[in-house]
Amino acid sequence: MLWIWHRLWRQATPGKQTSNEHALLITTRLEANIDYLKKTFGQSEDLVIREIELPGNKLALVYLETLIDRDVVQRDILRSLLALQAVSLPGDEAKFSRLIRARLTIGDLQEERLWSKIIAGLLDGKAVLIVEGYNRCLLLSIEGWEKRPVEEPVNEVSIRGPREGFAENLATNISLIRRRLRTPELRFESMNLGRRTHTKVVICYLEGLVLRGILEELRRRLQRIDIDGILESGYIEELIEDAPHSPFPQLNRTERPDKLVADLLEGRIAVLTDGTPFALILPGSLVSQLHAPDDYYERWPLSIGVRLFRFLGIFIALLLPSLYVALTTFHQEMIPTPLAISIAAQRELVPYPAVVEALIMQVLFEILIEAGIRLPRAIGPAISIVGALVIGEAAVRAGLMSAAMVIVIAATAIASFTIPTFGLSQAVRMLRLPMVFLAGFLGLLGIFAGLLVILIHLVSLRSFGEPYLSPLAPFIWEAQKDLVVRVPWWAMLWRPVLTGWRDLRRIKPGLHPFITARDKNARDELETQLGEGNGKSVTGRKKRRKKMGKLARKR
Amino acid sequence: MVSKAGSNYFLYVTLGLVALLMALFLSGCWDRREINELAFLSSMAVDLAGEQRLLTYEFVRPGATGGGERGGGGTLPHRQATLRSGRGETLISACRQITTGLPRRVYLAHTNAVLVGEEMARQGLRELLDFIDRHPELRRTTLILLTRGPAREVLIKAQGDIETTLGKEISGLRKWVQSSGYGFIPNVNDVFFDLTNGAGTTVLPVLELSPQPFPPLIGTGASSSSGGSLETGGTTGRVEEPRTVRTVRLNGAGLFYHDKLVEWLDKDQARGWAWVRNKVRRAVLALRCQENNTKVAVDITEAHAEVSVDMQGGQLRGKIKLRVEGELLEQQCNLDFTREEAIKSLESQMAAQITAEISSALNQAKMVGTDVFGFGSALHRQQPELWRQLQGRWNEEFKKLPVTINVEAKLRRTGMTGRPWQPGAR
Repeated sequence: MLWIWHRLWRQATPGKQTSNEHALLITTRLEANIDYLKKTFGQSEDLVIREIELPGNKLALVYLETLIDRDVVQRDILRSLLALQAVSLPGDEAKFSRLIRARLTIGDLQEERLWSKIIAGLLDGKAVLIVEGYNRCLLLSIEGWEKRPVEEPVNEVSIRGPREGFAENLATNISLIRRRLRTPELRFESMNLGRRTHTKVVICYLEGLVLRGILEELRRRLQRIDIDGILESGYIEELIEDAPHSPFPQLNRTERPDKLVADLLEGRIAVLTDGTPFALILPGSLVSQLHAPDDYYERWPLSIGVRLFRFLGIFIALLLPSLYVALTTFHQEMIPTPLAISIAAQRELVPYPAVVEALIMQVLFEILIEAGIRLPRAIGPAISIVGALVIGEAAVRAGLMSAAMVIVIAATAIASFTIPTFGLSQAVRMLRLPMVFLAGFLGLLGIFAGLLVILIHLVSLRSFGEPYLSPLAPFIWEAQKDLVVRVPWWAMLWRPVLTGWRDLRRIKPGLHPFITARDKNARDELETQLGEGNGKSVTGRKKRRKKMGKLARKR
Repeated sequence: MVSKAGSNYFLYVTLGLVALLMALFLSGCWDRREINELAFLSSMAVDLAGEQRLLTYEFVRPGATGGGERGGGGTLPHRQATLRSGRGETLISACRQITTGLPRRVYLAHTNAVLVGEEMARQGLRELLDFIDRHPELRRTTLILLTRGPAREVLIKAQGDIETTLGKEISGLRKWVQSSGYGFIPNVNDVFFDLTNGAGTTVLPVLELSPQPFPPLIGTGASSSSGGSLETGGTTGRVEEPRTVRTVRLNGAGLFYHDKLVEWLDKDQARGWAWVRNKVRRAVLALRCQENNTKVAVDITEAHAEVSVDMQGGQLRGKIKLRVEGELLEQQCNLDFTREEAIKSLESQMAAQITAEISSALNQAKMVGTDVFGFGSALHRQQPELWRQLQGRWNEEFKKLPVTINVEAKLRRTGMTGRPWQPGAR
């Protein structure tokens, strides 16, 4: 059925529309131009056509009032235009244009003749100034609309680190990135996607680091998109990813500018979409989705521990219910005796097999999560209490569930939230159910079969050329410094090899804050700074300290 | 690219998935067994009944353990176990006979202990060990013990004091009994290990019933208002007649030559044997103080024995060298044990008592020629050629082997105080 649908869909989709309609040029007659605009936009409430009579000339200012800043229209355009009344307007095109440019106090203005461009400009929030007798018009940038201010990212919370998150407005997001990367190397390439929405999509990268091939491939994949609307970066993600049927997200998403900048610094590319705070980062990998920004900001020994728990968390989230089912229905000899007897006692009154119990709990839990997301914020706590009470307490009391199963599901739920990216945690949640099935039918054998299938899938995945399990599955020794272990910054000498090989060196060697005698680089550095004589005195001081230490020990 | 190849691909994938699903569901789950459909075996007793084997199983009743809320106060904590027994020509047929009367699947993987009856032990452990080794569920870590008389007596009559099943009680005993020095509990693997040694001997501890009064002290357990389940309840304010609870304890051991029980060791002899085989973790020696019949208690904190054999003038001699360290823990007399000569005399007493225990056990073993002390393996290590000659008649050789016992005792500490406390003295 799926493939029939596929074929129908492909046949029904028309090719790219290349109509000549918008290749028309603007005419010299103001009336005709205004008529054309009125015809194009129809009875739109917010289309404002303000005609201005100047002594020798007729002008019209056209804009969509919902997209522009009214103050600017009042203060900067109308006032300047009305001031022109005093000046005699030259008939010459070039002179007129120069005059207007000189008088209008608008920063960004450009001349345009093509209707398609003019209409696109209007829809972008620009005002169009049309003059009787001239076959071109001026586009004035006076965009201004309601924006959400920069707020703390909701889904990617961190304890230490900047509190700014992306907003819906593309310009704001770009400014957030620019402010963090003050280098001319930072590039933004813009394109419009969506036949009807004309959504602005920006590719963002660092010129000196980015791999040309990946960039070219990304451009190619983006240009091939022909869709009528793009409302979220998810549309783009699904249209450009490598394995469209995989449950695993192959592009990293983030709403944190600091995370995005860190990825840019590793030679990755970001795709920003207007209208959504979620940016895409590519090439993505599984391991990088298990890393949180905190790991790099917090002290490194601690972040190693935290990462270990997170890696453990993903396994618990994927396997704990299925392991429980497998052990209690097939391999009871693997459970320690007191625990086995205790579980047996708890299950004494439960009317169905452990698989069914696990599936019911699992489904209930998924529903609870979904309900929690959709709930109006005000009744959220109430429902969560009811959910916790019903599932946790009453179900056990009523003998519908065993307490052990409730604990297992609860532990699984909590563990699945240790995964920092929501996409990956969803993938794990999705895979958990079939794993429980397999465990219920085949026990540990089923679990390992399932794991093997997942592993084969993961190993065969690629995201823009980078293997999905990249520092693990093609094992890269160099990258182990930032896998489970996060080495301190002074030891993070190289960029990730796969994406950052154009400029591998990240940090100067020998920045270890405690300078040992063996650390030759550091000592040389110190000596050149202090001069040769001072360098000797440093070693002398060290010797003296040693002697004093000995004395102290004798005493 | 879409039409033909794509459709086939999807068709094949769908067919494959359907086939896989059918394989999953049609085969059923042949060895699926819910954990609450199992009867967990906690311990079993193996006896001979004439020509037949008599198996008695003690199952855990999980429903009873899981509740958590049990009667408090002075009620007799009863076993949460069910006993079943069956008989048959072989052990496994006896086992299957039990299943004819059991609504759950017999599950042996969590068996804690096996009790072997005296008659069975005299006939030989071979078939039992074979059964345990061959059965896919039974483990070699199962504990194995001996009883005087039929094992099923102990299993049936033993009443719970603390633990819910006898098996649990035995595995608890194994952990803590070594601190008395009198007991040790081997598992099946240890027995295999011992019996495959050249000497082919082993020692199994004896579990016996020991009736205890309950409640232990009159007047403490009488609060029947809280427990309420005693039959004599209701007579408020009165102390109930103490009843007897049959608990179990370790007492002595049995000597095995090859797989057959040949001789018993009593409690002290068992400790004598344990000294030599390094099975004593801690032990208390009650020694004489110089004054009128008072005693001093020494707690042995470390004991290490070495067994060796050497040739002296064509004559084999066994040697047991034991080093113990102790701590003074109790004193009934006024002797000052911070003085060196007092310590010295105490140390020689320690050595003497331990030597007596060892030689008593040694004599018992020599009588029946079962080398449970490891002289045989010592000889095997030291003089392999000689061992190969003597191996066949080692039990006879052992009977006439002269053994010197050398105990080196040290008193390291005198507890938390030095001189004994006396009223009126500072």
